[in-house]
Amino acid sequence: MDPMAIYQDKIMHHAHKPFIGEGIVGDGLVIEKRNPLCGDTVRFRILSHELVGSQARGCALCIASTSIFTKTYVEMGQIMIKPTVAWLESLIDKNITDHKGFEDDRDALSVIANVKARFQCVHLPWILAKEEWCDE
Amino acid sequence: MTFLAQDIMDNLRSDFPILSRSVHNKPLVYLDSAASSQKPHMVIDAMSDFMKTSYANVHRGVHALATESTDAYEQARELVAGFVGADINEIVFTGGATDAINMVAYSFLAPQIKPGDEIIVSQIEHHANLIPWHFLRERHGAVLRFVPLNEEFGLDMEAFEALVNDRTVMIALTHRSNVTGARTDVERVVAMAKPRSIPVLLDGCQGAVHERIDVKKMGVDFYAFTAHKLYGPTGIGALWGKPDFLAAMQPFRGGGEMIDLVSEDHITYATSPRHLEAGTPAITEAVGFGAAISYMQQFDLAKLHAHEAALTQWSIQLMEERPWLQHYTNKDSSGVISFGMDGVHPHDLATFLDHRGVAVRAGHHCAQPLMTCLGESATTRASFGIYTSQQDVASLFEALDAAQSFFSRFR
Repeated sequence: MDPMAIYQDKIMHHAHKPFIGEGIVGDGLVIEKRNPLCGDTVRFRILSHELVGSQARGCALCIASTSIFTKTYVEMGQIMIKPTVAWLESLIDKNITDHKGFEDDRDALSVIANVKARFQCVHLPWILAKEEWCDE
Repeated sequence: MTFLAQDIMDNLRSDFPILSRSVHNKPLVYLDSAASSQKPHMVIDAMSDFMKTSYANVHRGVHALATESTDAYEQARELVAGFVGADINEIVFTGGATDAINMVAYSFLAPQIKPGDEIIVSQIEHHANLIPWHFLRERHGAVLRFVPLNEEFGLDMEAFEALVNDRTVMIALTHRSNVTGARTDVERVVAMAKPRSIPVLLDGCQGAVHERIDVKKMGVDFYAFTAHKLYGPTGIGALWGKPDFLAAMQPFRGGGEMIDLVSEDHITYATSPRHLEAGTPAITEAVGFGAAISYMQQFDLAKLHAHEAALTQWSIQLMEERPWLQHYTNKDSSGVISFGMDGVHPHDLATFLDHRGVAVRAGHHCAQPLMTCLGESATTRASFGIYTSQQDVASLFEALDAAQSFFSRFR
């Protein structure tokens, strides 16, 4: 696979026209996670325990991943968070090869399997979501 | 601009085995030497041979290997001392420059500091020369004063002079910035410090790489540097200090090697600088550090430094010819250029360059206060060593042009 496939059209579309829901300005609570290695920051606005909007500041992968998260949340709700995080984490474990795909924009994130050094860029919004909605 | 002749460069590059490998099926163009330099055969072989033939713990042993090992270790100290114009008993082997600066903070300044005492640092410091002083702020009530960045990505020396006062107890500055390449005007710093008897520490991580160091001529009190940026191994560095300052330092690590007498209720310390080197040292690494110094001393260092400066000046020209690059590089930089590309995050740019075999660094470069001053969360940095060729720089800019073309498709 061409390593530059990480910048495929789907990723770059989300990076340049991110889906942000209703954004982070407005009612509710804004939560944030920052990657200390690079300063990339993801913010979610939450109202009544539900995601309202998002904002990512950082690299194309981080912005695209946050956009894909937000779009998927709006379409599917919180139920998709745990399996997606597990899938992303499996991508950097070379033993996991049997993923069939979600058949939605999340599949574009599989590019990260080729560039382990950038995993945190993609992981950031998903781990923030897992901490907010999935952890006990 | 004075570049090394091609035949000299070819020979020199052949000393570094890693430079012949490829990355992503492209020839490696290694432009991350400010983070860590590559190692010549001479260092690799010296460490390997030492472990194969002479290794044993140093000092105190009476057998032949202990003697050989001690000789090799102390010979390395002598080489390191000579490299910076010091005497052998003025060099403390440390775990690196970070360790050296922490040692000065804990062993020299902490025992005498009082709440309200001021430490002058700058906005362009690497965290290695910032966090140890922050510890003194947090734990002892010290006040940090920051020399501001000027418009040329260097230090505002007039502002520096205004910061020095009767409460100043330490001036700790970088010799050369790891991001902007700016060189501190050491003479001016020392001129302000000496009449007030304020100790001056220089973080020489980059400075020791790109210019000839003579600590005594510089007039500073401490100079911290590391082996792995000087073509030596990781895990070892050195602190040079004025003998009376070193002798006055209270050890902050206790253990074997650093003592004279120990009883149930009393200890006396070994003589300086050994009282600051607790435990079994990094023996093989010291041998590698010495080999790295010996390697560099085969060459006319002035010519190597001129080559690095020429590459840097040429790179600044090439950056300025590209309006889509913003650079954050001091005009007198040697060995380091930092830049950003319009609309492209430094990590995306660095990933693109990596796939063309060009290894650069992207991020805050352990200089977050500087990033705040620049209004950026990260920059891309290319950095040069003695093995960096004109072709390497040409490859960098070809890759940057390709990146500009690639990412502009998405705008």
